[in-house]
Amino acid sequence: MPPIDAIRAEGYRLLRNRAVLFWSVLFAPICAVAFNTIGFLVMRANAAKLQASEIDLPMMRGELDLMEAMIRTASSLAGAPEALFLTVGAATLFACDYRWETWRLLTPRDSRFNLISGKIGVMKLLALVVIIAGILAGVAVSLIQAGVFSRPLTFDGGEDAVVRWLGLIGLAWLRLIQFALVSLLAAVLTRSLMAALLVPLVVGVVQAALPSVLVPMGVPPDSWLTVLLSPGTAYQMLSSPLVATGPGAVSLEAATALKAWLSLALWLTVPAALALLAFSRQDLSKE
Amino acid sequence: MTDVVQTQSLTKSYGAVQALGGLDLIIPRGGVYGVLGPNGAGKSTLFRILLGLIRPSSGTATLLGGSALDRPTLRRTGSMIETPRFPPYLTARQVLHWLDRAHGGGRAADIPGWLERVGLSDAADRRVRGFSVGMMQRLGVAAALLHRPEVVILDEPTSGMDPPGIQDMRALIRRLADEDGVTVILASHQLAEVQRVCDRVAILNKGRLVREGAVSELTSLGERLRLLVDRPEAALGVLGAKGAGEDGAVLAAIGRDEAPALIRALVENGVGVIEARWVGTDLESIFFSETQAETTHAAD
Repeated sequence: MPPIDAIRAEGYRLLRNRAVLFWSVLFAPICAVAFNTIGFLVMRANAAKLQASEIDLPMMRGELDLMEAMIRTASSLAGAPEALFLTVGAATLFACDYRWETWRLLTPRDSRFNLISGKIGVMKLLALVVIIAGILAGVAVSLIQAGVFSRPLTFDGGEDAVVRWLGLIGLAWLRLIQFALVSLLAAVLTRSLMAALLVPLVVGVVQAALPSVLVPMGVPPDSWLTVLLSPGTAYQMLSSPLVATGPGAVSLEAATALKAWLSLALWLTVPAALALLAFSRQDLSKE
Repeated sequence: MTDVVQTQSLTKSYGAVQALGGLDLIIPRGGVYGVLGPNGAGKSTLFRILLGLIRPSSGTATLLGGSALDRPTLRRTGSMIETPRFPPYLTARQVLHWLDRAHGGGRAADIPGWLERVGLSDAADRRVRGFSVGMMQRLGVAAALLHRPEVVILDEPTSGMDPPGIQDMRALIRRLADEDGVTVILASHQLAEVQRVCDRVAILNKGRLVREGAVSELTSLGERLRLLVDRPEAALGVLGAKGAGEDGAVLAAIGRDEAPALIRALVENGVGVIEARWVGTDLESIFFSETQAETTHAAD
């Protein structure tokens, strides 16, 4: 039975927390649109100088394939800024009942399993909204770019473009959820908002550095150890073949895909299971 | 079923500190039941165990005949533990809508009605970050009562309230018990308040039950006949060891059946009786005698 009541309650509360919604959903897309627009305008103003310097800027000329641009945007939806700003929302969702001592209002109303599951459900929806906002910002940037440089728009993207685009969106969604689940575990174990905010970032940095640390120790970047410990590597392995087709295409072997999927599955289940286990027996005498 | 709470040999330890030490307590259905005790007596620990917020170290506790971890049981219970806090960006009305959704069950609560009953109608659309402690308490009570529970546990519901607020809360608690049929379990340090509003009380000290009973019975246990007479010394002479002076009056430690004979004896000894009335002891005296006796025994 899905925790409908808990999802409705968490959703209701999150929708009224405008500061958190701004920082986790709107801030990064607004910045992306603003900075790109400024960049385009500066480039157009200096177009003559750039041409005189014989600098080749393909972004200023030719047709603009909107589908291709959307695929490029989708490949960057689980980047550091998105993960960082989603964590603001996730940490608030997971840790603020400790901070405000409001668990005592909720635990008599629903099972602890449902309460945590409800939070996870709302976090998944929030991650989806972050992705949709990112997609819309990407489309806006492409349209502004076409307008500023007077580039005609096309909509092609190549073979299986829509499938690749949807695949990248799905992978980005899983990667963001995985990142936020570390925040959940940190929140339950430490009962601290700061930990819920900072621990996933530290874990993310360590995981990103892990392959380069392990290579000198004789552990290849595509080894089981590296991939299982680094879901970011797994995400890159799965998403790279979807980004480009044709001569620049990256192929993915079945064994590598299995490793990558197992890594993502591991990081999507273990932190959530540990958090549920800890919370089910947690003493809430003082949140 | 006539009991709403039953605990048997209930213990809870935090490391070396024992918050509850084998508590046996039965709280009957109906009326207002006071749970009294000094700080650290185990009141809040008892409530938290009943509400499933913490687990006991040993022993059992049942609420409405079910386990504290039984969700349907807890959904028939309302509670407010210590000064409640709420997400600061929500208004009072939004807090109740949020909790209504969390409670589920498909039946929408009468949110404007409860805001009205706790006196928060005018502040319903104000964010709770600007609320005083007393307003938080009122909102906490509304949150506890939102789904018309059979039992409501209120821990210090008048803490931080001004005198009119305390009076309103007392009236609300009595109405809940008398008109709505809710069993109210109440912890408070304001003993005069408890004496006014509660039907029965339990006094806890150091995690154990030291006294339990109806307020009327407990306060009548130390009952004495207070006599205002024209010759107090002569009256004390008649009473002997059973008499004591107090502010010009004479207190007679006798049973009610002995009163006619005493008054006759006083009159026969030339003592004029101006006034005679029974005075009981108050809850405060009982509380201090029970909790300090325990402390003294412990010190011995």
